[in-house]
Amino acid sequence: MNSGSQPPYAQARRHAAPERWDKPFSEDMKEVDVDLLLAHPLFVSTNPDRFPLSIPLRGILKNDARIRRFQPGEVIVRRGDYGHSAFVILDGAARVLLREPAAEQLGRRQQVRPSVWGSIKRWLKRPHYAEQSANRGSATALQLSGSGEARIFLQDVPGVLDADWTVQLKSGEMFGEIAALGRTPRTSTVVADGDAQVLEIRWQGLREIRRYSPEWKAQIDSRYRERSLRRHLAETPLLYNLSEETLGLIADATRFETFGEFDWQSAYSRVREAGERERLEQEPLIAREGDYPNGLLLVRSGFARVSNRYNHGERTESYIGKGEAFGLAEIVSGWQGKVMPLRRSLRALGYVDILFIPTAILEEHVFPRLTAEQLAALTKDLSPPAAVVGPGAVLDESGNTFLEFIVAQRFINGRATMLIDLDRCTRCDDCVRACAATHDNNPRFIRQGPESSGVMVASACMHCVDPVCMIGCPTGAIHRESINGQVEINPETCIGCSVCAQSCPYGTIQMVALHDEEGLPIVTEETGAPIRRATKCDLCIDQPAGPACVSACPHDALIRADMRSVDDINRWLLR
Amino acid sequence: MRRLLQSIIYNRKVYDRPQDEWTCGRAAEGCPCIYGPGKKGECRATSQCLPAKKGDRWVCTRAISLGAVCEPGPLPDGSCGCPVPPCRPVRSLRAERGRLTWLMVSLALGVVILAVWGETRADWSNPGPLTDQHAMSAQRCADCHLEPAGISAGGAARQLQHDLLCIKCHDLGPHGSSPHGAAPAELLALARAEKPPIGPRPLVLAAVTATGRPTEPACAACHREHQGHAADLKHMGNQQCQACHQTQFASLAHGHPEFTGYPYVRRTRIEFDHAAHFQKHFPESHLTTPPPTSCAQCHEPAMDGRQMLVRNFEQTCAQCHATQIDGDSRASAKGLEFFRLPGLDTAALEAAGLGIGEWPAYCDGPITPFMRWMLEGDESVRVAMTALGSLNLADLSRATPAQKAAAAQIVWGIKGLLADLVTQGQQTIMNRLGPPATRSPAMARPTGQFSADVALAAQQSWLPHLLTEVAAHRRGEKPAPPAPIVAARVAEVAPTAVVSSATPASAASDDLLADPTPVADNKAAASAAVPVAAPATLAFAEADARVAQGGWYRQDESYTIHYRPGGHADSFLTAWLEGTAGNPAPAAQAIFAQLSSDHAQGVCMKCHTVDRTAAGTVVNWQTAQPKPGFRPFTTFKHDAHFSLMGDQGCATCHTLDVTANYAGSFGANHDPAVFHSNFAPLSKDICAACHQPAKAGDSCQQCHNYHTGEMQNLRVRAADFHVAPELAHAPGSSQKL
Amino acid sequence: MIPFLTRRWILSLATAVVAIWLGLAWRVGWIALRPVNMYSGWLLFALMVGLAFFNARKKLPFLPLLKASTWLQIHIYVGWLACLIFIMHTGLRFSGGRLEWLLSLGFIAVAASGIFGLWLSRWIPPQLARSGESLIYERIPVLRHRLVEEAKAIVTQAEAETQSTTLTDYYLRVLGDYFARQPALLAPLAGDDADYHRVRLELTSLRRFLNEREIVLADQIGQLLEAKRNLDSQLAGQRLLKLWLFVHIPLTYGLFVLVGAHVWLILNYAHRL
Repeated sequence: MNSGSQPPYAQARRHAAPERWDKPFSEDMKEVDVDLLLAHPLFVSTNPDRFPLSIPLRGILKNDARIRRFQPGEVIVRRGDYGHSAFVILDGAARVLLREPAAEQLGRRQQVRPSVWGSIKRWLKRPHYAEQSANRGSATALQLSGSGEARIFLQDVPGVLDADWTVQLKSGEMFGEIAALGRTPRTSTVVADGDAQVLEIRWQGLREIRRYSPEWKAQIDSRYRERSLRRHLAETPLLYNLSEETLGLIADATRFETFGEFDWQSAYSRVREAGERERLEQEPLIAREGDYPNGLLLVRSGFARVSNRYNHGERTESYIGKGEAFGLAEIVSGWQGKVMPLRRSLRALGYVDILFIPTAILEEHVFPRLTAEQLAALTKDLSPPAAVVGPGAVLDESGNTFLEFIVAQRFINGRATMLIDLDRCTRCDDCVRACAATHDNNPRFIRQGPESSGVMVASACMHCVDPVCMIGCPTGAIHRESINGQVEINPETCIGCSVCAQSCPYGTIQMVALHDEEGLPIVTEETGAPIRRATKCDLCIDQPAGPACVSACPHDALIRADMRSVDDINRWLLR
Repeated sequence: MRRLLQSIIYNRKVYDRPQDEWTCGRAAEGCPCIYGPGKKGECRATSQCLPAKKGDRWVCTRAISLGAVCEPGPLPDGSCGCPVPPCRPVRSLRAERGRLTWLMVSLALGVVILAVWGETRADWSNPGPLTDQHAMSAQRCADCHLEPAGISAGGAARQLQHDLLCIKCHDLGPHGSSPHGAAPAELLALARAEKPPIGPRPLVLAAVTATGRPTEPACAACHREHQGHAADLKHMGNQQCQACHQTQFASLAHGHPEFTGYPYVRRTRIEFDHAAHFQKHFPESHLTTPPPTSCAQCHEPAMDGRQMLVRNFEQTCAQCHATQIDGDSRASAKGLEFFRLPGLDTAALEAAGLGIGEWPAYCDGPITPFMRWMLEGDESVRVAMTALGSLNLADLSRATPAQKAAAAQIVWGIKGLLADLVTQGQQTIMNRLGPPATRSPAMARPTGQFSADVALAAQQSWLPHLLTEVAAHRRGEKPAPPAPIVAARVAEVAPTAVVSSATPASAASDDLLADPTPVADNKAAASAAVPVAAPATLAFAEADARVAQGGWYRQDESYTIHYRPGGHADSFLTAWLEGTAGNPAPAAQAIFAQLSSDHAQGVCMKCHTVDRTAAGTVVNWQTAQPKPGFRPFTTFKHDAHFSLMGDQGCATCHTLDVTANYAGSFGANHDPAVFHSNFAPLSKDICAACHQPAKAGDSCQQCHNYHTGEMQNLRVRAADFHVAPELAHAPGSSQKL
Repeated sequence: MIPFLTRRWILSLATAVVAIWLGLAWRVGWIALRPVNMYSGWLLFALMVGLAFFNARKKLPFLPLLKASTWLQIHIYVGWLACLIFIMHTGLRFSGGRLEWLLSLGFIAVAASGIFGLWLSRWIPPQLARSGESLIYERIPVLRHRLVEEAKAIVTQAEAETQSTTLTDYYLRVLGDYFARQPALLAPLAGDDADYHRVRLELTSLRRFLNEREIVLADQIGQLLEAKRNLDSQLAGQRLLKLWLFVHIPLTYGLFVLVGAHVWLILNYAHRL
């Protein structure tokens, strides 16, 4: 069975392959600004000649950077947001909040406690018409500038800033680059301390600068190393209980590399209709089967496809995600004297951030400390790893349809992917009605989507490990709940710009036109265009009974699966 | 490559709304209006988009999911270029289902209203046809149901009230509602008597007894009505009997208690020793009469075929015993003495100066028991008799003057009695037996058609002047000196002369005496004729022979009046036996003793037995008879088994027990419960031989009744005889009615 | 996650045990002259109420009651029990009065439809899954409409481009009413797609009259046919899956009214309670 992702309409191709810089980061960036920047102490030491002609420093600054002015108390970055740019303070100062202020102080919706009575009240008060919404007053701390750009102000600025739990960042200091390059959520909130002028560089530019300017590279890497690399390494099972200085040595030896495009979803939607093989070719190769394993690969973020060659094609065996290692078995057996090339290839699915620890370091500092059984444990996965098995199709020589399917469609990204067993689903729509009953009479998912081997992946938000939908939300209305990591859209701050809807590679975010109590459309005063809002599954975050779709299915046909736990999916498929 | 109909691109999708009741009628054409139907499903058709004003021009804002910007674009005035024509919104499938549901509910409600309050409620709410017996009540629920019982009334009270409705027609005796119609005390006794469970008890029953026995089960517990015309209202399973009965068993063959002395519960009413007859009497008597060859010659089944009855006397015993009873074969007196002039010591009385009027010289013998009872009817005489004590009237030589006076008193009593018998006849006997109040209606029979003429003739020949003497004595006059005894002598020598001489006078004096003269003549003639060698007239047969079929006669030589019983079931004897059997008075006992002795005339008591129980004394004239109103606990249908009898016939079950001391149960013993049967008791095995589940069946109800005791099956409603009004008021209706 | 087979075994076994126990209890009560019919009646009533609550649960999905799937399992097996108790209660005697007769009839209809529905919801979904893209029932009219439009477009295009009427005639002769045709109500049970094969066969037999361009278009039409076949089977299957509830649910509520009357009569007229 083919992956079944064939769009019927020609006009579905909306993302024509973009030329670099045909859409600059900001239109306001003028040559003068660039000159000023080049004169700024930051870039004085940077040598433009190191940059290739195709990508000159000027161009980078012109197109991939912009200068923003923040007013006192304005929030520059918010903890938990998914940023795609780094900041350098040109003028003025900023404060890092070491402790998180209340959610509403940052213009976020207050987390509602799930309660039965609350659900009942909500159900009783459910409106009759679709997508009904009271007049949306501007949310706390949210202002829309003329260009539709959102500005968030911290409430009660003095109260927060005068407190002693803030750290001041002086002019010339950089922040936010880790989130930008590592696709991790912002680790802390930064607020403008007084008027501040900040240079914002989006990740593409930052990557180029880091690549071609040793000073920047040294600075960024050292900052990264001292800020989070050690912690990250310490969390790696292989490197448990190592002494500080050994860890330091390893950290210094570690290289980090990124593969794939940062906004892979657009590239993905380009290759979506391409054939399996073509798609595979387009995935950046991280490690090739048959090479000598000269280092351990730790995935820091993103996903990578583990495949091996089978006659004339690549057979997907599994996929690895954040925190998982590649090539360890080969290295160990090599250290034990039996030299072994890599048995599988590793390909980046979308954007992958890799830590590379050289073999020599491991052999010198790590393996000697390991006991025999630990080593045995490491080498035992020389046997092929467990892979997802689809109903009816066991893992045979030709690989596995379902596995290929979810990898090809990137569903591996999901933490709560809605899988529907079509062999049991009676199409009774109870799940949809349940969803509507728990969401003000509006369903928040569509019982339809790609199918493979009798399983349908419905169009419901998967609450991805790597939520690309969050990138570029101007108001941060779409955010991740800190509790269980559900991705949620704050209706009060959503301005209906549909960036998230376009970013979501699975099309699970729907733009809906709002209606009033009479069921008539709400339109903007000025243009009269209908006001739309991004909606999606919130995993019933405010329902005590958990996801209503699951508990409402009478035939055990529907689950919200965490695609990282392959065994659970196996068990479910083979019930 | 498969052709997919639905897009999975985000902006090609819209949320489906299966929960909505109405959908736009144009949805099928793929161009629904943005407003959609209203709450009531009314069409609010407008356009497919609200054009927005960008600067100075209008732009279409149709969502891509609905087909993106439309071809014609907005009109100059800003209205939509492709308006949606009005539609008829469509109900969702579920909404239709909901309406169907309401329809069904209202239909059902209609039916219910019809069933509970409608005209034909009886037809509708009747849960099923009644059995034919009750079919008439089909339209009258109130016959068997408290109407309305009310939901509140529940439990025992409700059950009782309903049972009363059943018992209104079906009489079950005093304890109708209690198990087996037995009194609670009785039940308790039974329960105590029950043996502990024997044998392995089926699981279910163990459970039942664990849950305890239902006391006073409702009629409806067993009799389930409304189960169809042909339903068997009386059906009841075996295990249901065992639900109560603690002694549980698997079947008749296994576990059923052994019979004890079945079927004999008392001695026979007629003392008939089968053993003796079959072994002794019949073989001996075969010369005279053929002995019975089968039981059926003496026994026949009752109408219902259950009980076996004894044929009547004529068909059975009479062949051999008839002559014994009517006395032909008797050597001694065939009649029994009813009245006698007792022997009297006249000399002593005269010496004492007590006048007794005339009295035959040569009479002797004591007062008969019948006379004694009748004399005791007279107070003064009874006193006199006690005064006289044991003295014999015939010898008063050593009597005190007082006793002599008493004797005289008695003599006058006897003369009075005779006079009364002559003058009043049977009425006298009636009066003497006791005041009318104490007299049972049957007491007319003791007179035994007493013949006043016999008495008159006797008086004329024995005491010609009795009537005048008694009259005078009753007036209180001193009696005339005794008439010369000569008279009697003369009469003997030449009665005719006397009679003839006497006749005119007497005829003149008293017309009462007119009729019997011929009798006197014959008698006199007969007595006179005896010595005559050549009979001049017809000869007389013996007096008792003249009443061979029963009747009254006198004998002058003994101055007695006799009654000769007339064959079997003589009313005189039966009456006197019944009257005296239970009577403690010595006079009565004397009579009973005389009549019941082995040599008594009729020898009734040889076969007929007397039961003396707390209930009273009963003389059993009848053999056992069926009792229609009584339902025994165990029933047996004889005639159903006739076809199954083997070569031994009845003996298959009823085997003669020669060792049994049958006769011992009789004689002095009068308690029917103390007895030895001629026949060996039946054992369970005889029945169990055939009565097994596979063969004749062994359900409890085949032999046992649940409802037992005295009862009428159907209680008749008391209602007066109804007179049609036109009849009642018609002239002369009294004659008609 | 218990495998379905295991779950079925466990539940069936449990049901059987309960059923046997009930049967024994009923028998024992009957022997003991207890009013067993009243007991079984009340029990049956209680079970029916419990069964009906499944519907209520579906209407209030947000309440943290048991999962709907658990409810369904209870519904199924308790349903079997209810059938058993119904047999005990009535003894399968339908000679009764009209009300009782209606009542029995209603119950049997509800039970039968339930059993049929259970079978359907286990039998049809795999067919639908095999048939192809699973369509949403409410959308089917739109999709059918769109299919017809596309077919027309292709045919007209063919005639315009190639000046040959082969495909047009084919459309007029066969395709038109094939696309217009609705599947039979019980088509899923009959596995009826003879029409599709006939039409498909004709299309292939036409190829020898077509030139390259037309063949390309014919292949597109072939795809449309395939889509139409799937659309039909989806429509028929899902329609059946929805229609059996049109018997099951309305009758249930009607039944409850009758049951109410029945109970009322019993409480008023029964000789013993």
